Amino acid sequence: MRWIDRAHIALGSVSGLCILAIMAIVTPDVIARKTVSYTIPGAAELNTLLLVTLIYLGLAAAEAKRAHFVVTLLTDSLTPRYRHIAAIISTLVSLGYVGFLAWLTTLAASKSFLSGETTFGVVSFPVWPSRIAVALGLSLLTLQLLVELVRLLGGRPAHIRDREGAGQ
Amino acid sequence: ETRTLTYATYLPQSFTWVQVDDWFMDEVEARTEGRIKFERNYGGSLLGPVEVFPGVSSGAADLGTGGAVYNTDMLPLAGGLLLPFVTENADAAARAFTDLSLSSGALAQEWKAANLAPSYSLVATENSFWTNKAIETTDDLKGMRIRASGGVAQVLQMLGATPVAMGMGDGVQAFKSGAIDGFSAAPFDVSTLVGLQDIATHAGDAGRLGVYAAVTLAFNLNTWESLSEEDRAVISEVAAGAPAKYLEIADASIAAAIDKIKAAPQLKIVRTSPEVDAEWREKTRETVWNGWIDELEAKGIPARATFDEFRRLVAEKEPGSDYTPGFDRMQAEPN
Amino acid sequence: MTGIEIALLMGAMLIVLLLVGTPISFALGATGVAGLALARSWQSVLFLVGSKPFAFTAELTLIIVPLFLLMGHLAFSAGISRRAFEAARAWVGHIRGGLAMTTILASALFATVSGTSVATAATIGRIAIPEMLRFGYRERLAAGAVAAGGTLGVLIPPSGVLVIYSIATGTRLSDLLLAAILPGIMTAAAYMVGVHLLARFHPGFQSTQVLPREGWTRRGTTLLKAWDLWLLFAVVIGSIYAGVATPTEAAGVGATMALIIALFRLRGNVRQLVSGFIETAVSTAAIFALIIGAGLFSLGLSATQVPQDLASWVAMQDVPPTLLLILVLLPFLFLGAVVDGLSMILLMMPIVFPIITDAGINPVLFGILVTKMTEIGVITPPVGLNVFVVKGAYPELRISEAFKGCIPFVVIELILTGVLIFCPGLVLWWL
Ligand code: NA
Ligand code: NA
Repeated sequence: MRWIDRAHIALGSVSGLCILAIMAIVTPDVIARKTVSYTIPGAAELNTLLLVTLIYLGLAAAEAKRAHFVVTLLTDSLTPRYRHIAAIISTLVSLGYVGFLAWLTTLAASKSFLSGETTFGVVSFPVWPSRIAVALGLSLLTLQLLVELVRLLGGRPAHIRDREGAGQ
Repeated sequence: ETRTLTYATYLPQSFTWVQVDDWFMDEVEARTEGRIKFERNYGGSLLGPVEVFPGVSSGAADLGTGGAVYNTDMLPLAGGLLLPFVTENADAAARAFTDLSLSSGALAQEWKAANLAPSYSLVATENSFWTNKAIETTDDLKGMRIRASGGVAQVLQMLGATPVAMGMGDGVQAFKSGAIDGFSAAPFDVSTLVGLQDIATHAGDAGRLGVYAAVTLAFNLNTWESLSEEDRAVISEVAAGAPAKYLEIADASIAAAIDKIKAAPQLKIVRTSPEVDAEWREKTRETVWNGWIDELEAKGIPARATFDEFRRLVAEKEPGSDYTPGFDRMQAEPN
Repeated sequence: MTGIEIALLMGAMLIVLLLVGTPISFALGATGVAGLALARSWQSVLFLVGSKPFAFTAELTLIIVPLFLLMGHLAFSAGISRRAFEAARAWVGHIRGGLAMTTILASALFATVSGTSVATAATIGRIAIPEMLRFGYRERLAAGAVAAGGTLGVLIPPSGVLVIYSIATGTRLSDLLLAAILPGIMTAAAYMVGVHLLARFHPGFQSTQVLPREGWTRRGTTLLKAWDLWLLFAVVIGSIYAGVATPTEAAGVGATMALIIALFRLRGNVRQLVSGFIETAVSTAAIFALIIGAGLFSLGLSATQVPQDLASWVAMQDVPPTLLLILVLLPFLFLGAVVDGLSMILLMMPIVFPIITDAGINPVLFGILVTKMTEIGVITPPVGLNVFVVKGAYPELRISEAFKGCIPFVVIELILTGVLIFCPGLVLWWL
């Protein structure tokens, strides 16, 4: 496995930790609310931030583990040469798409940070950390797709998204 | 030659505010004789609650109806001006808000700095409570978990309730299952739109917090300036009629809400005494008002002057308005 | 370019990208962005693409997806699901398709607390599929039963789709929820009968093993041994019924409970626990990548105005109400193949709803039928969200097999929709 894949699977662990953190907020919150009518201030906002972080850090890990869903109807029946070309096209398009998202969400994140965007609810909670998580996750995924593209263009075979993306 | 302008709102078409927008757009389309048409996107299908004003400002849509409260970084005055305990008259508040936005003061400057040209603001009907027990005194609130947000949440927290942040849909389901004890930050007529009268055992306007939420229809400033003088004149003329149209639509909506409330057999209406209302007000009003004002003043935003001017305008408009709050109107009607 | 040309181009681009093996989420998103770029101003594209990836995911109620996925993973690795299926096997194993029928029953039960089909499929998927496969069930039957069973989450109240429909149209929520009960039960029953018939007569769905009938002693002991699953279900379902927690919170409590049980059962096998968390995170990301891609696709497609024009065109046809109803539902069915249900309701209702009420069609009936259409959408390719959620819950699954497994359920859904259209009394009997 390549270093970048490893790094991204490590990010997947951070993403997994976010789930643990959500559990560690939700459960005491429910218990406290029911028993002593106390709600952890900002619990809802914090959980939303954790969800966004877990999704976007998980994106790169999902790519590293080839867990994104694909249709293998045609690619299964291609010769290695054409399969290689198909992989280059699909990686190129994915890179363009994800890179475009990464660029624009980074702009949105910096705008949010500079203006001090907050949520509207019971408490005001800063929004920019979530927006940074979005931009960071997409940027890492861009980097990973770039490495994949370079690898493919260098003539190395495509990662097999075997069994329709089951991977691993 | 037809110019198609893209309109976006996060609100569903069934809401009274959007009905006003539809009327506005129909009128503009008719009176510009086909020069302007609108592509209408409702219910967040183009821009969500947080996205309407940033989206219109940046040109993702040409105009939109949103709540400034979702963008207090961009629109701090517009987003916080409608504090609880200012008035129970949605009509007067809407007219005052619109006038202040179109004047030359700090609020108008704020819209302009956000690259937005507001046409009219509408104010939701007054706050109501939908609960599983009667709220007659402030003590009844202690320990109650009530869905609320913004200024209403602040008031409830100060009086010992636990405000819980939830959207309308989730709040309704949570209330139905009993996960929360009550539902507030709910305009009188909108409450019956989501069926709170079928779930709650008690309803009322305890504490008389009054109106607390505004939406504004605003154009992208560049789009606005690119329109011909003639078309802008037509749009402004139609917009000037929006408050009257809203009063008409809101009136019908409140009447429909009263019918639905009367048809709910399990629901008891609880009216608090003037003494209790005064207690709510005295315990919370100054703190909530000053909290907001001080926060903005610290950032160099003239919140106090704007707020005072807003209240003056509201007081000026109240006497001439035909608006009656929902529960008052219900009580006055013969059964 | 006209709207129709852009929409056709989008269709072609999507097909080509999917065929060359682009991940479905990226293919949808790239196509959506391309559609936006052609149909809207450049400023729109810049704003929407910068904002939507955040807006589509920053929604508190969505935490239910990773939480229930994790609960399923932990229940599987701690052997909870294994013991539960030993019990199911002892009771109904000898009936053809019995375990799949039990899975549908469990989905229906779970649907009484869950308001989304994704949460339902996520929870049941990890628990049920490996066990059914272990007992010789065909992959397609196992996956089809879970993916289709998940759709019960929306039809049996509570229901997120009905709440959105109610708010979008002003139809009374309590009427909709009451009306959904009987069609929900009918759907569950029809699925169970369908599973039984498939397992009995269809060569592609027949089980590879015939399981023996078990005695009452074994039935009793297996039931008792599965106590931890009963406990888990009791806590999750019970806390919602008792009004202690919202479904979102119950998911958190359920995941925590499953973690505690797994800590005891797996004594020190930390590696397995950690991998449960990572796998859940990865699956969650893959599912949300799809939600983001489908959201952008839907934005691009609606920017062409083609869905709206199609709805207006259908609505203008001068035909009898029943035919009008069928015509109006058709776009929902076709768009449901690529766009998610909630977007569709928000997009089309403003156009369609006034026409429906003008034609004298009951708005409650229409709400139930539209919900049925969105249910079908989550189990049809290429974007069958439930199928992908099931795959997220059980990564070894082959998607093509899962979609094949969904075909009979789509047929059942269409038949039931027809029954409801022609016997609206089934929906409106209590009015
Ligand atoms: Na349900
Ligand atoms: Na589909």
